[in-house]
Amino acid sequence: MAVTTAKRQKMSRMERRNFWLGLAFISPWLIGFLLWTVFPLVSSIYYSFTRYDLLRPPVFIGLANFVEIFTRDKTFGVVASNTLYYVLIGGPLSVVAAFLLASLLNLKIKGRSVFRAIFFFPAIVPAVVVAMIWSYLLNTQYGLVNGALQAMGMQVIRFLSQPSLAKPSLIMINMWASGTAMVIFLATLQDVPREYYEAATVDGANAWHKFWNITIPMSSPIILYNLVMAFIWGFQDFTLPQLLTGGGPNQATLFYSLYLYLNAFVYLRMGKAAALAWILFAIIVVFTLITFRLSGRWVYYGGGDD
Amino acid sequence: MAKKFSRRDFLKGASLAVAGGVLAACGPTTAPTAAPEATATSGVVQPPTAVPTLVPTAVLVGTGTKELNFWTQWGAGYPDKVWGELAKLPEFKDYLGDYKLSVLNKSEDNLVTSLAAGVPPDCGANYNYLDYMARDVCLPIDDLFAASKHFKKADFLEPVWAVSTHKGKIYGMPFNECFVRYGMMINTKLVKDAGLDADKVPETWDELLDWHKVLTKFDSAKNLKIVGFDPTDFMMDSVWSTDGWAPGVSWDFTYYDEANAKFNLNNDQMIDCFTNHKKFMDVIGADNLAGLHAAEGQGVWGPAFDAQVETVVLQGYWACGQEVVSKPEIVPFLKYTWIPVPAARKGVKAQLAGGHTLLTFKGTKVPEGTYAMQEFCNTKVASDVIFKLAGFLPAVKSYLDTFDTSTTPGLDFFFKSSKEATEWHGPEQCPIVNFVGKTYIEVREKVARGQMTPQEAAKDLQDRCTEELKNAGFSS
Repeated sequence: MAVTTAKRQKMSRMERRNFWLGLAFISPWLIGFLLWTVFPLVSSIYYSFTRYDLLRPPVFIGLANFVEIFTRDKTFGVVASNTLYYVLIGGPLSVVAAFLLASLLNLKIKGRSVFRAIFFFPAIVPAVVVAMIWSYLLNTQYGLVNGALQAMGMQVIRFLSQPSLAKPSLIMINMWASGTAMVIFLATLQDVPREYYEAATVDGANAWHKFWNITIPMSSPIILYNLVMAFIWGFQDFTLPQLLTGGGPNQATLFYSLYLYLNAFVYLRMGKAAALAWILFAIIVVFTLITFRLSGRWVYYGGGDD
Repeated sequence: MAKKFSRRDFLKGASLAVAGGVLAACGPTTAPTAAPEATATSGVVQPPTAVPTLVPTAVLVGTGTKELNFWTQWGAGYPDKVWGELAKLPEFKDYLGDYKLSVLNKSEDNLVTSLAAGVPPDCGANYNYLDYMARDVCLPIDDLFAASKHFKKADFLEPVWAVSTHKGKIYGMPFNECFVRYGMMINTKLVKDAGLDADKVPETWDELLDWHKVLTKFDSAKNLKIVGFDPTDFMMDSVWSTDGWAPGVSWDFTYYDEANAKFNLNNDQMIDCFTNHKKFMDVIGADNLAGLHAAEGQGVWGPAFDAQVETVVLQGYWACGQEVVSKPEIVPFLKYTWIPVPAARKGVKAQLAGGHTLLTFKGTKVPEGTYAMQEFCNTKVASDVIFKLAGFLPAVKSYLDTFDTSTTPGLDFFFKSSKEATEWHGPEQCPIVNFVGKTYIEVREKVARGQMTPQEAAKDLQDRCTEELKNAGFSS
């Protein structure tokens, strides 16, 4: 029996031409990607092994930055626990809030499109504006919320000035601004086949049964997606904590990204900041992998076994 | 047979057209219209743009041929108002006739980035000077200063030189905003309203604490309404290489030994300072103060004093002029006196002279120009303009000796203090002053909340600053 060995086929003249033409057309993006994404990425790996303050040439110090972060940096423990709290509680809560909102906005009610616009609006408000609005709303002395509480004879709540309440307050603000996830859920809910609900109705299922046994499983892939995005975003959140609390009170909202910024631009420890960035990357990757690994138990893919 | 125009041809043609359009858009623009030449009266050349923008635009002054880029953080008004007027002075032509200055407000982040990128301005002021001197990105001016026909070192308040001197080299002259930094500013109306005698001002922390207990007021819901003494605001906020540190001045200790690169933070004075801080915070409540700062201004250095919800603060001489501008209605009630000291030091009149300088960055083509700026700004005529428009005073002794303090209420105390101080301090120059400041604020809050004892806090501060100094490469 003759054995035919597969030979690497040379590209024809036409294929070569198309290849270079394609490369030329994507070159603007490719050059930008190499210059402003790949190059800084690779540079930051190098800087994480150096002592670098932006003003003097970097000095190679090996793993010293990483050793310092994990063994001698007292603030790192505080930062890590704050961030994990924010991510593990804030992430799922914002996804749940967005899903429930989307479920309500999927009902056939009058003015549904108006409600959808209203609930999506916070997602497009700039973060600085959000911070200003909420800093006034939640202010202890003069805020609207506490004013209403006092008018009802209730005790004021020190939302942003009490360490135990600062993180929950930030989580609450993020839940308010979960319009993007809500829209994605809305699209998913509208894709759930109506026949399932009809069949369930015939079998005597009530609204809760339908929600729990049809709506949630059919939306589970998107729930997974939004959950992963919420985790990734939560690990990197900077704007609201920086503007609303500056990391206080008493370091209660000193999150990872804020700490990274402090090291890079206030303490001029760019090498340590680069190390922190890569540690964060590793944490996010591990978190995402765990989430995907566990997703097999609760995510339903209608297309087949994945 | 005519060749058919296929879809592929259309896509190719459209892509080429788009690519051509993008390249054309990226091409060089036509040369901008030349700016109008400065007139003899104005001396100010404004860029020809009329498009409103939130990005600060440079103010151009001078008619010379050599360009000089000057960055500062002294806020809106300083580049155009101050330098606009300075450029009208005949002395401007004498010192800076060859130059066209571009004065621009730029943040510290911008300056660090520009230095890292190798495109810094020629000079900068109102930044964390030691960060740049310690990292060797500035040019010393020893030679230029030694050759000066106008000024000698002894012409200036001696402690201010600490701000611009590093390892024996001078990197700048005292510039624009110098003079004394510490006084106690009191709103006597609030004092009298609380039933206290505004003429018997506290001299020690214990006496001030007695005032604080009476002056601090809460509403029926136990919200803080008025603070007696804010132990975290203004000059109590943090530590700076330009303004020194209130605990060091009041308790008389030097927190950093520059010669040996060692910290002195774990000592009895620091412990006493933390203990004192807790006493004041126990009256206010840590959560209450955080909420108040958020109400009246974001964080410290806010308008809480102007809003008359703070009665007593520690402030520098600049407060006199600033209050005239920001809240003239309370100026008649303001009284200034010495900063409080521990009871064992009662009677000590402590003061600190600090200030600013102008750093010349390496790579500049006009070092003589940046030096000339410094000499010019320290002349009497320029100092008059700067004080009139910005409230800043120079460190020139002859100017201060003849200054008319009646122009600004409260300024007479600070001038008197410069003659009557029994104890002088200068700002320590620590290369990680930002870290020291942030860590100090952190442990201070922990003491206030009872999470650390003053002894633990002092030790923690010492240990962490020592560790950071080593990690930042400034000690072994």
